[in-house]
Amino acid sequence: MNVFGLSIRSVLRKRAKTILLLLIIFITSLFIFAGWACKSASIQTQNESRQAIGASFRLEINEANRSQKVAELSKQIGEGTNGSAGGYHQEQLASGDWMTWTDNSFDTLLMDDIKKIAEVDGIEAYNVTTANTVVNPVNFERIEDKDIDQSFDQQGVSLRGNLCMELDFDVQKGNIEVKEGRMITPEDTDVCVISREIADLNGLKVGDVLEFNNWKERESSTVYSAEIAGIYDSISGITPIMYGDSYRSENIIFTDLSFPEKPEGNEGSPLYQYATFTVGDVDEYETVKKRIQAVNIGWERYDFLDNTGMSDTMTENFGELEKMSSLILILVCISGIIIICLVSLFWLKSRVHEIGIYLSLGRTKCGIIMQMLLEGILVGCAAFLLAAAVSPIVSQGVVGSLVDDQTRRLEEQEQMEAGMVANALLEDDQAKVVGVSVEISGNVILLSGISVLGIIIIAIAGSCIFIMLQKPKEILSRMS
Amino acid sequence: MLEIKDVMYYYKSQKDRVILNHISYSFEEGKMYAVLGTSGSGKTTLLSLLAGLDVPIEGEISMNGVNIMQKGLNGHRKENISLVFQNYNLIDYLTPVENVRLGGKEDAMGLLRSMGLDETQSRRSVMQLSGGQQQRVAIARALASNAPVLLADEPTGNLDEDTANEIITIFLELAHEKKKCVIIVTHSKELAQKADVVLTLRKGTIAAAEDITLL
Repeated sequence: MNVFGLSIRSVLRKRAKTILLLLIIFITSLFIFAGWACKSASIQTQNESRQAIGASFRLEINEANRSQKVAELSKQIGEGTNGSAGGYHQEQLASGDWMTWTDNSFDTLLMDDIKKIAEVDGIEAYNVTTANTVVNPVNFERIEDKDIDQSFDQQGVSLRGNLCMELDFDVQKGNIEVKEGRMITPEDTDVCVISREIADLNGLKVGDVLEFNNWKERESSTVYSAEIAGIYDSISGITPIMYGDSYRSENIIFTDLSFPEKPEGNEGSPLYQYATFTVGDVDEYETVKKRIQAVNIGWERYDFLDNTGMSDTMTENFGELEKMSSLILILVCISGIIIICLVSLFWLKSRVHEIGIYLSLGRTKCGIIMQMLLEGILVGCAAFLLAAAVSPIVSQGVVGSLVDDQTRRLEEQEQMEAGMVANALLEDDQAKVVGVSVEISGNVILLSGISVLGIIIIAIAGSCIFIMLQKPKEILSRMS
Repeated sequence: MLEIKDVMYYYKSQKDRVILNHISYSFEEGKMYAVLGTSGSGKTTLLSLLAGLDVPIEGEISMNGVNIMQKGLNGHRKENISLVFQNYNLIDYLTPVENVRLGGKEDAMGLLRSMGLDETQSRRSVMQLSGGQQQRVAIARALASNAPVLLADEPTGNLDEDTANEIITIFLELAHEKKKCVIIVTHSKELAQKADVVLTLRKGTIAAAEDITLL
């Protein structure tokens, strides 16, 4: 009778032992599944202020990924070292303080990625919007609140470049309306659309030319011109992204996509902040979404929002969750090894009789240990299959509770920091967690399987050491 | 056939207490040997050394002129030795047939039938068999390997007189008809009286070796 036959008989006929081991490995497997699933979970967030209109999608930079890259590049340059890497810069000032900053190349959406998504079947049109860029108005006056001290303001206006202004977020939402002239199209170069208030203040009309340059070097930087293509009226107003008159809604000037980088002094290095993609057939919305998600780009760099404001972001958004899942895996693996090892050791003590018989029959110690391992693996396979069947529910629960815990801690932190100025600016832009998506993929099953197999082999092999260390006669004398 | 030469043994933790003190003897095929002695006289140690379960501190054990260490103790146990114990030592999760198959490739059912077990008894749990039946299964398992030497440690210790006599008869048949070398360690003088050769161990030495076949 071979080792496999003996193992099968032992597993099937020693039911109490088998059921107990099955339960232990089952529970261990469940937590291992949860740990691996947690690492690949998607957290759905909703940002009410970002809800798109109609059948469209929106691409943004993922803040958590950005922070992670900053940390990595900082580490790459080295602590206490002046240097630049990948668009990240750090420099020690004369005062001894350190200044760090990122340039446009670091923060921008990549046009190649945008174009890949735009080429997806079902996308009818797309728009790219630059970040608000503050520049100095050279030949016109901006709108100012005379009662406010302007010494802390950049004393500029905000440029917002669009590939296709018609698809701009505020135009789509109906916050502004171009009643005079026209909107900017992809073919335009060096054109702008100004607010009614600036036009009235300066007596400007369509066809006039506005001049801009860098607000930090007002006297010396190159001046760039843009022709007024249209004048917009505020319907419900544009929400400013920051305090100060440079950002107030009347001072926002829409331009063609490549204009803002020029007066800012970064010509050739744009800062694309958003990209929106419009679906032609609304009924195909979900299908197109799946097609987009299948596009091969570095998705970890982005947040991808649908028309409900839902965003599937990777768990990096919840850095603690990543750590927690790693901690779960380590703890479960260690405790699994210890528990299975102890249980196996306990059983081996009660199987000394059997081991002695096998030795007296001329079986090798390695053969006997192989049988013990095979028994564990057979029970482990059954337990793993059972765990795989129920793991989606358990993993969802574990990941959900971890996310809830993380969210609660973030809320507590926000409450502690309530009232701080920096926070007040961001309050409207906070994303809410609305769900957690846990998928038990083939990769998760494979990693979990390898983990469980490793635990079983280490635990049982560890418990079998005493067989290797003892002489057959000692084992036989113990059995008698 | 199976020979011990100048074998000395002590436990490494008790070096001053010699268990076997330079003993030599040659066991032959076709005979049943009874090893007698008081507790602590070295009977079971001798059996362990002959079985290759342990190695002597000094001296040599050889099978057909070849040191058993050369072949390896596992190989010696597997090919040359069959063991029968006082408490039967059957694997409890295997049936009698499966237990016998552990011993070797011989016809398990045939061996069990020859030991007096029927088909039904051979396929039920070994725990449902009587002590005598379990010992028969153990002997059948020992025979399955077709090893030339059968070592038995108090094989009748847990059996009633009638069953013990039946088992002894089986051992004698194995020695005389199957030409095996049967070595039985026992306290039983009744059993020893039926053996061909009686070895008496005392304080680690062979105090007497009485071969009744020569009388």
